[in-house]
Order: sequence, then C-alpha cells, then structure tokens
Amino acid sequence: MAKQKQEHILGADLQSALTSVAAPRATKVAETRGRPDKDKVAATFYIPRPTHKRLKEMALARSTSLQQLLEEAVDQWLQRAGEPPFHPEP
Amino acid sequence: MHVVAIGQQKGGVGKSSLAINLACQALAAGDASAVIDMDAEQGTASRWGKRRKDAPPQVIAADARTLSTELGKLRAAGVGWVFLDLPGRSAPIASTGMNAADFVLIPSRPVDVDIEASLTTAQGIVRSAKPYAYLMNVVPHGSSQRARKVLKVLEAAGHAVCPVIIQQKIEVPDAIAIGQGVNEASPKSAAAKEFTDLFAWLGEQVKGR
Repeated sequence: MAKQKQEHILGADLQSALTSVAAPRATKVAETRGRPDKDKVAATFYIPRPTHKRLKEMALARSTSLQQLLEEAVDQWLQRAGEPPFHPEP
Repeated sequence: MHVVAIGQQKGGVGKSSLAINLACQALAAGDASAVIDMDAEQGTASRWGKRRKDAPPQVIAADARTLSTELGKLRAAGVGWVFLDLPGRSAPIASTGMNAADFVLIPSRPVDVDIEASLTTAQGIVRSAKPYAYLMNVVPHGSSQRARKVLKVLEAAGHAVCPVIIQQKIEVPDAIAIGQGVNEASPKSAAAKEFTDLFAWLGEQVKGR
C-alpha cells in the first residue's frame, strides 16, 4: 500500500517561537486564584517559563485554573503510583 | 488618514505589490491614497509611480528622517489612505514606518522560511502594541488549503490573521509592469476581487482608529 505523504504545516520549533512572540492573551482571573482553600498550604516549585505559559494556556482552554490543573495531574500520578489521591472518590 | 505599514523582513513576499494594489483599491473606493516607498534599494513602488506619470495615487520616497514630514503633507492634503512599503530587512527605517502606522500587515507565503523571517517583525509590533495581522500573500496555485492551515496555526499561537488570501496570479505583476493596479488592468479577474476583499477587510480593521 502506498504511503500517503504527510503535509508539513510549519515545524514544531517554529510554532513554539510564534507562540512566544505573540502577545499574551487576555486572561480571566480564575475563581480559585490566590489562596484556594483554608486547609491548604502554598508549595513552590520551579518550572521553565514556556512550560508555565503552556500550562496556563491549557488551564484557560479547559476553563479551569493552574491550581486545579496541577491538582488533577498530581492526583492522577498518585493513583498510578498506587498512592491515595488528593480527592478520594466519595 | 489611515496609515498602513506593510512589513516583513523577508523579500519576495509581495510587499510592494500589496502597497500598490491597496492604494489603487482605495482610489477605486473614492479615497485619495498614497504609497510611501521606504525601500530605496528595491524602489519597486517608485518605479511603478514613474510609469504611472502624474496619475494618482501619489508615490513618494521617504526615509526615517523624512517620513513624519511626508505624512504631515499628505494629511494636510486630505489623503485618506497611506500605504508604507517597508524594506525587506531589519532596519531602523522599518521600525520608524511601523511606529507611524495605525495598522501593520505582515505578508507571508505559507512556508516556514517566510514565517521564520517574520518573527522579528512580529516581535517588534507586539512590543509596540500595534494592531497587526498576518496575510497569506502570493500563495502558489493549489496551496490555498495549506495557507488556511497556516493561518490556523498562527491564530492558535496568538497572532491576528487576515481571512482573505491573496493568490499568486500573473495579472498582478503584469499590471504593475504597465503602471496599473490589478483592479485597473484586469478589473474582472479573481486577483482584483481578492484585493477588493482585502481592502474591505482592512477598512473594518482601521475603522474608528
């Protein structure tokens, strides 16, 4: 069977450069911004600026906050590691 | 007076052709228009102006030093549209032109090399918070779909894009060769229709500015 040639629409590096050059999108303030819960404590970790930007964009696209997005990610990782999740099923 | 800069560091993306044809579209719409040729090395718009003799639109050569004065004169003369044909390289003259504009068009073909070359231009425009849009220009025959996909990628990356695509059509350089716009030399051609659509879209972008 003949292999169909895949159409090339701008390389990944170029797409990434385009994103970094563009003006930051207007962001709506997430409802959970700031201190999201009195029972939680702040934890700081450092990630590359493009990763942070990408995560913020993903959160916006999902109409959620970075806080929520990361909680979900850690939850899934805990479950895969056989650990109890953040938010156990009721 | 609307001042539209046509800027892109890469040559061969149809900057002069855009400036010329948009000025002719403005004339056809009943507005006095002018082209300011800021690309002295190429001088495409200036040569077109000479072929046109005294017929409007005015074609003026200017540099970073004289641009402001020339714009002042055109404003005083009641000119409605000015199109700045910027040089195809990163130079202070290109920045001066972009700063003087109300809107910047970044023409590119739907290929990586053109988009890559546009990054410096786009970065400068974004920093100055100037309204702008990418325009798929001189798009080769059979590549409209690809141009639309590139526009989607640009849009997804956060850039403004023009929905009108300007195809590569021989009528365009042929009109320029005889000192005309494509709307004058081939008024019923698809190429003329594309420029009419582009001018209408541009009018919407600069409305109220």
